[in-house]
Amino acid sequence: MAVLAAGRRTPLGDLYAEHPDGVPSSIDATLVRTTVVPERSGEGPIEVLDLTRYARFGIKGKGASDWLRSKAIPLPEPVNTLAPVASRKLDLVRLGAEDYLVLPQSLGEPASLAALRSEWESDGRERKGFNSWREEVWAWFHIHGANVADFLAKTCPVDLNADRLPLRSVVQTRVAQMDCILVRTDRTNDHGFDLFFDVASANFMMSSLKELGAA
Amino acid sequence: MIPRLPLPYGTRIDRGQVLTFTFEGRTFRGLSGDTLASALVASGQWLISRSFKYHRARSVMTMAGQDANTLVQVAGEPNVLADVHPLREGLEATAQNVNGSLEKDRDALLDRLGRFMPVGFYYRTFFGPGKNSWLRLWEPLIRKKAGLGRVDTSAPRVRYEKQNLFYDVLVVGGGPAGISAAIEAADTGARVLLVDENPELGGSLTYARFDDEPEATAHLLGDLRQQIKAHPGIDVFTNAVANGWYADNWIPIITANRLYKVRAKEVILCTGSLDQPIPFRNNDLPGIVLGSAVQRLMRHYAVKPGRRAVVFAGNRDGYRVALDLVEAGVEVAAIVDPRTTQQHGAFAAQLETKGVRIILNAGIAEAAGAAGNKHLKAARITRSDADTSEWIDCDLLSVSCAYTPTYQLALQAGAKLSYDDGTAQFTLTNVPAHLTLAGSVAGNFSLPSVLAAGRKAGGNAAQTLGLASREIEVPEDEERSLSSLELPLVGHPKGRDFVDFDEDLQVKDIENAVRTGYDELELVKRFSTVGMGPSQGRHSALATARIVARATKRKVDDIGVTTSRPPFGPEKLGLLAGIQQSRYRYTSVHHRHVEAGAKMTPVGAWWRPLYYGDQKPPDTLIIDEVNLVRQRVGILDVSTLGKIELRGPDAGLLLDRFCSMNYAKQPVGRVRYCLTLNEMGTVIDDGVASRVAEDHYYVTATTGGVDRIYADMCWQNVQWGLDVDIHNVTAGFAAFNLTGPLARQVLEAAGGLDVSSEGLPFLGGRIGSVANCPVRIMRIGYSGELSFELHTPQSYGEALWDALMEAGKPLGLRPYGLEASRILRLEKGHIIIGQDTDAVSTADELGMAWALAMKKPFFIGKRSTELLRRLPARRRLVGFDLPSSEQDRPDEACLILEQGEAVGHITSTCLSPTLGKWIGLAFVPADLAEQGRTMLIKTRKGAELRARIVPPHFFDPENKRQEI
Amino acid sequence: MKIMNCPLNGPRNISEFTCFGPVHDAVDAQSASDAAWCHYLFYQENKAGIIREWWRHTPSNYYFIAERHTVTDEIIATYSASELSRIENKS
Repeated sequence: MAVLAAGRRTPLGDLYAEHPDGVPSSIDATLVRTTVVPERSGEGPIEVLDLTRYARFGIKGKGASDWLRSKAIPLPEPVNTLAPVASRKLDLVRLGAEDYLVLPQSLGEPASLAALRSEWESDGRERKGFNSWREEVWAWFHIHGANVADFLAKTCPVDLNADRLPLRSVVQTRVAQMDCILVRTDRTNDHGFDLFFDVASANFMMSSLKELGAA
Repeated sequence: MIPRLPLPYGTRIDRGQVLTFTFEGRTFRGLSGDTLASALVASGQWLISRSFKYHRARSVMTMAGQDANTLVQVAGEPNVLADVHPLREGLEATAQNVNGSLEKDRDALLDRLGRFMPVGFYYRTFFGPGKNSWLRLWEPLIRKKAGLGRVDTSAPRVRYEKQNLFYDVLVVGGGPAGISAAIEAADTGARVLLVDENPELGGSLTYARFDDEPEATAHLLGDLRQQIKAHPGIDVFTNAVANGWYADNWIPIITANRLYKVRAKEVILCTGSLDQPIPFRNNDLPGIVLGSAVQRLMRHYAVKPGRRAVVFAGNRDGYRVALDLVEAGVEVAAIVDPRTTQQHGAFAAQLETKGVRIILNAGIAEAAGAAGNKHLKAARITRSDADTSEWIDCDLLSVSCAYTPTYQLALQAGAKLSYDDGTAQFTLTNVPAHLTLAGSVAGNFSLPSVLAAGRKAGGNAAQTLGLASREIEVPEDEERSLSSLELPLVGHPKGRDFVDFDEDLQVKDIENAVRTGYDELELVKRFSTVGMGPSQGRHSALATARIVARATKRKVDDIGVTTSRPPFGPEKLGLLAGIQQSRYRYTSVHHRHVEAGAKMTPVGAWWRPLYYGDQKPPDTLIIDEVNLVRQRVGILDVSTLGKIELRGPDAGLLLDRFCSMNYAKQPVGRVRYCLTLNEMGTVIDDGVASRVAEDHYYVTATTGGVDRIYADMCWQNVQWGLDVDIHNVTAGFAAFNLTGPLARQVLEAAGGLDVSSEGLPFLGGRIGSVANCPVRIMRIGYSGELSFELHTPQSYGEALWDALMEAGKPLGLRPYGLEASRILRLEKGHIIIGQDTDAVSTADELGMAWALAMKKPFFIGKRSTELLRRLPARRRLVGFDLPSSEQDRPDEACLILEQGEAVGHITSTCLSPTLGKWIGLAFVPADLAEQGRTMLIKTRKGAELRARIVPPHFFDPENKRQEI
Repeated sequence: MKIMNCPLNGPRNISEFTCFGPVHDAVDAQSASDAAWCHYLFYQENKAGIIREWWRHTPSNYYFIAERHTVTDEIIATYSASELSRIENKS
């Protein structure tokens, strides 16, 4: 299934840019920022970025850990943490004993991710885990702002406060009444979380966040 | 306006800001910082409400929002507590539960009819005179009489929010103990939340009198508040009620329109205690007020509560109130002390020098009201050492006698309530782990011991959290035994000695409940309704326990209080609802359906097209869609189908165990039906498995069933320990069913993999691309026509849909919806799980024995199927048909009759556009399932229709059309 | 809201979990007598005391074992399902 067609689209209507690898070149140029909580006196806004169209790659199942080790990629320890893979400009998120999500460290530079993916696809060994279709199964939002933990506390039952949940922590829990994985990435240098959740609920998630943010 | 007391009285009011408001249509003036009740009382308007049953005049009692006497209607909002509701400019308040006006309540007559309404009378009345008297006569009447307030159905929409909060330590109650506990815990580094229901911290320090002069108390309060304010580790919520205790220290905190769900590692309850009233005849007259309420009126609002007071002092605080009154310029006519000897010599000496008369051995037998009993006029004092009694004129009677700990949250958490005869108080024991009590709720009464107990509780909580804390000594508490007094509870012969003010229950009512046979407290409560009113027994529990103890000759400790459950106080439904968000899921081509004019319908969380267009009646549109598929080609969005990837060497084995057919033997490139049973042999789901590779199956499940199937598969896999990875990719793939005689031509026009009958035969599955979109394609369908189910990663969904629509345009391709799909499948006799099946339908009953590979060593449901096959068959799902008629029609859920008895029901039926007659499926008893037999259908109109039992494959029984 | 300690995700509100019922002694469906099979299907011991149950943390699809006291509702221990076979082998 390596054939690529033009015209891939995200649930919120973003077209995947017309690049051969389906990824645009920079995070900012075309990205839509949705303000869910406007700037208030002394407190910055809370914004949501829809990153769904950016490349990501998941492998899970028996052999996944061994395969990553065989590529000299250090595994995040323990489960539910993110470990940067500096040599490959990748971030590796560990969701289970044999469940991984690979993200590009810089969204605008997808080549290293594509390289890892093609290494994995072309590897002939018997056990290397399975493609977990994370780029199709999940929508990918990033939500950030100085008060993002307080804001998410309206809908998330886990304490996300910056001093209790360090950078690179992963929380598999519920947001907007649905299963959601939160990864603290501080991607915009602001306190912020990547959210991974049911792609068919992307519209719902966005409208929920907006409604929770409405004063 | 009556002048207020001078400074420093009135800590909460701003004398410079006068507010105008109305009560019962009359205009009043109050001050900013007043509550509605303090402004009314300050203006001389004591009468605030009428009691629930007898419509007696009532006024402020606690000034703390703890009684039902101050419930009023404020604009559209009923049941507002006037003693804590902040006064606002232009506020409009009215009384509740009055017939006519508050001043002239026609129902006040009921007070004279009390003997016709004994306790529990409603359990014995209202049965007659006629058969339906309750519904027609009594219920509407009682509803009108019993309701409090009026709901404004046109009230504007209000936003209510919820939020989770996480703290190391939650301190409930911001009095001296709570403040000390918060500071001590935060000093060790703990993150602390301190909540208090009042507008400001301080608790009793803001109104009560202690051993030191009031100036010293004010200084201490200022110092404590400053420490809290300056402490970075303490968050403070005021005007916030901790409204219950739920498992593992989960406390709902309500403030305005927000519900905080606070999870705290340690909870410290400094909830204080509740000043208790005493029973005597007419103890509910306006002007009879608890001592703490007198102090609140003066200190907080600078309200002079009366001109001439009698002070009942069963404890030390009674003397302190008397001193406060004297200092505020209120004449204290007498202190009535029931004890035989003077216990508070220093106070007594101070008061006597000011000319106050102290009567020991004394009690209050009754009170008398001025005209209409709207305010206290005099109290009759009796002495246990004399036969005479004496009426003393007064317009204020302050009552200080006993306290009960505010035990509700502690009891909800599992603490036990005991009664200590020595101190005449309830005490809390067996406090569970991670919960601590401090202050008067824990029996600390003297200020030094309250402060130290608070600090000790804060330190202990910190220690449990692993933080370094210091040792704290709590000094001996000499006040504990002087705080409460147990009075003999003898009812007045003429009654009106209220135990429960909310429900108008008197001493004799509780006694009569016991006498009627309800001698257990929980029964007394349910029979008499004691403690069931808005104040939930805050002032009646102790008295009730004592009355029941005496009446049943048991100890108060054995009686206790009724089970305490959340919520502590009333909470608005809006707070529980919060922001309502119902999940919805869209397929990747949702917008295409909307653009094409689809009528969308929810299917679980998903939204799916029901039919397309609005230019014709829906029935016609649906028939057009059926005809389109039968004659040309249509496309159905089936993206909502469950989709599961099974990968690994044991994938076939897992499927063999989980579903009913043979999958391990299924060739790669083939698609096979999946029927899933539970262990009872009930059919629970169906779908297909496409074998993509030796170790890879792509399995579909029903839209509604996939979550359960996926969870069960994963669970079984953990137990079976198979080498297979199970992955739910339902939303990750868009899926479209292209079906109709011209379906192949559409795919050929779109371009892509070989879809010829040789390249992709019926029940074949391939991987490739169509219109440059990656697809998994299967020759399967529900309609009985030539069908291709195309699955593509959802990001390609729109591209594939558009390409197919474009390619199919010359062939007349249009999308069709769920309604047409349901007809198409019924014409083929395919079942829908959950519509044509129920909780006990077996594959045999459904005529699907063909789908059971009984030779397999095991599959879930096999054992029960074998067992059931040895029993007589119970029922069958049969097909039926009947001619179309203008007069009547069968419907789903219509009964099947046999000799007048209901023996079965219709599960699916439709007027088949293709066959021109009614067709359907129905459950009938196995012995009546014979083909060709006639069965009777009872229609919704009540008529009977005769239908013929036929094989369920109504259309193209040889399946020639789908296999071309 | 009770807290359950997920062996994978740590302490969470119980609403994030689903109970999958008590851990049964393995019953071989095909060799069990009719009576034994029906007993297995329809008889729940409903014991007052500590029981061992299957639980799933839904957001992470993680299955594990919890030991719970049915009278006090106290969750005594939670552990990975692999521990189960270790415990059973011991006893």
